[in-house]
Amino acid sequence: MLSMKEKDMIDGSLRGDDRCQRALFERYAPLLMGVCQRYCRTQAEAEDVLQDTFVRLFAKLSQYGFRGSFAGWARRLCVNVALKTYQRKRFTLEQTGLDNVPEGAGAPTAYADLGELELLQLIQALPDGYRIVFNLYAIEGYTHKEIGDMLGIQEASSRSQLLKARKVLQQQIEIRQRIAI
Amino acid sequence: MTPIDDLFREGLGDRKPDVPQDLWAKIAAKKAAIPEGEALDHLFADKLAQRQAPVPTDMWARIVAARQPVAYRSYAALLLLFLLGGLVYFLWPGTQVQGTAEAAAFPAGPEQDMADQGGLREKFLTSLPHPPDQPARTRTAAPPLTANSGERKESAGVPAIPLPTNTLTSERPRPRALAAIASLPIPVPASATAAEAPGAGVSPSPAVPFHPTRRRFEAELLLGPAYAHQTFGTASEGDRSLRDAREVSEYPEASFQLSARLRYRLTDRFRILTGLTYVAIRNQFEYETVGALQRAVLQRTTNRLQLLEVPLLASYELPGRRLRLNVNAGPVINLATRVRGKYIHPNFAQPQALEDDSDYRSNIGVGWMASLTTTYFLGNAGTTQLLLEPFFKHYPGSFTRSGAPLAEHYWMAGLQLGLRKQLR
Repeated sequence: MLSMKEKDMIDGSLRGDDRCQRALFERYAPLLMGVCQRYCRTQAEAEDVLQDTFVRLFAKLSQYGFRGSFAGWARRLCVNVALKTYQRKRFTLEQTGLDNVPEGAGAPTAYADLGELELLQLIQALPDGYRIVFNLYAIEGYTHKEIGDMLGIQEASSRSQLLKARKVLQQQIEIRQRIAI
Repeated sequence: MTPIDDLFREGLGDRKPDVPQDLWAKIAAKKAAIPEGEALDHLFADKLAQRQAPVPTDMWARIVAARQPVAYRSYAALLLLFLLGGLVYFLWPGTQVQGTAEAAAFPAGPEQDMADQGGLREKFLTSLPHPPDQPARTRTAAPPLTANSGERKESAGVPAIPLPTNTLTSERPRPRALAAIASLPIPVPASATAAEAPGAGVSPSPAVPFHPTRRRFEAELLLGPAYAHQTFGTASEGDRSLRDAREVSEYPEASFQLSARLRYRLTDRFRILTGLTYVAIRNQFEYETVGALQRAVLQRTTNRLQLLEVPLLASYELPGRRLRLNVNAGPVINLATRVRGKYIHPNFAQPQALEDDSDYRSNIGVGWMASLTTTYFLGNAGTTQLLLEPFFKHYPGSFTRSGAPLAEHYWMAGLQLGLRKQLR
């Protein structure tokens, strides 16, 4: 259910009201920035994706049609922009997967004490393919079939990438924990 | 037991030192198994799914700047205006080659004969005696002649004199009426300049007239940048990963082509064009390697696809004075292909060399080309032209052999600048 204020902001943005657009940005930018940071390896990339997301969001706002949660719609749009950016970007040599992950990066922390930033760092350190699939499956909740369609890969490839991503994350958490103790 | 032993036993035996507060948490964390599978997913999802991150202060300004509309409509309107202006210039009846020396030099066609008649009429009217109150410079504004009747209507005190309906050449017998005209005394006004005097021509243009010559053979040399768009096709689903890998690692760079062509005039409007064209299609290849300190290092190289082609173009010329348009279209026959560069293959950790696989064709292939050549005559000799030619090429066939895992296709658009020289 949309709050009146949010509906006003969306209606105003559709009319081209700058203040409403700014308000919509202020309200959803932090959430979408959090999404961007999970899909991108660096802060600069995340900022670029966030910028593209809002450009597309205002361009396609009429397609929203007040069906469902606006936050969910904006989030899906953000994920799509991030995926397109990822697909446009260079191909990383993922077959070397585990070798590419820096060992023991970050401060030593016990697993129970891992905070948002530490978890984010662990995700950002994953190879591109692992990071994307892990985000889509574990955090966004897409199925392997949907991920396969979105990325143009086989369903089995999605499963395989997820397993490898989990393995890398476990290893990284274990290394941090060992150092901490 | 010595007294010294007793001293330490009594002093430290029952001592209870402070235990670090987080020691139990550390031990508990070590003892707890690191979550696996879905539990690991939940660990990340619980803390990151709704996470809000600080947004850079200038982000809104960046978004506003990125949303500024590009003035596509203005550019399109300008382009349309330019095209319309060009069409009007070339197709408007009054802007044809009337009165040019070219028409005088080749009075072969009926259109040129008519133009000659017009010139003759103008010359005749210019030379006729006129009433004293009418200035000499306004004489050409006399009522128009009826070309078909061959007679000039009596007007402004000038007697009606029949004009020939046929073309006039030196070989043909001169009609009596024309002979009568030729025998009329031609007064030369005192104010007339040398250019206006009989025998010096009647063109009001500057003293050195423009004389484009019309020879059958012309040679031209053109060079210019181009954009080559690369697409891939896969024969089987198994090669999809290879296609994906190449699509995200190869980007178009500025390509170029160099053409040396020969142009042969078939008729006044139609030409054929052939020659040799060297095409260099360039793509940037990007990939990451792991460098020192496990950091990803972006590597960039350039892939080159070199072609040697023979264009076989039909050309239609829209006439003009100095500025002309030629519409060209036809096939281009690819004689040789050479490729150099790298590509990513999902089965290999290192980039592979394009030339090693022998996947690329080495010779014959056919493409199609269309172009619009704008020419401008340089100087007054009329033998050299400056060329500006936007072109589009499409290669429907693949650049790779039929057995190659990926079929590589291109279309190309570019702009060439060059010179054309008449030969003989």
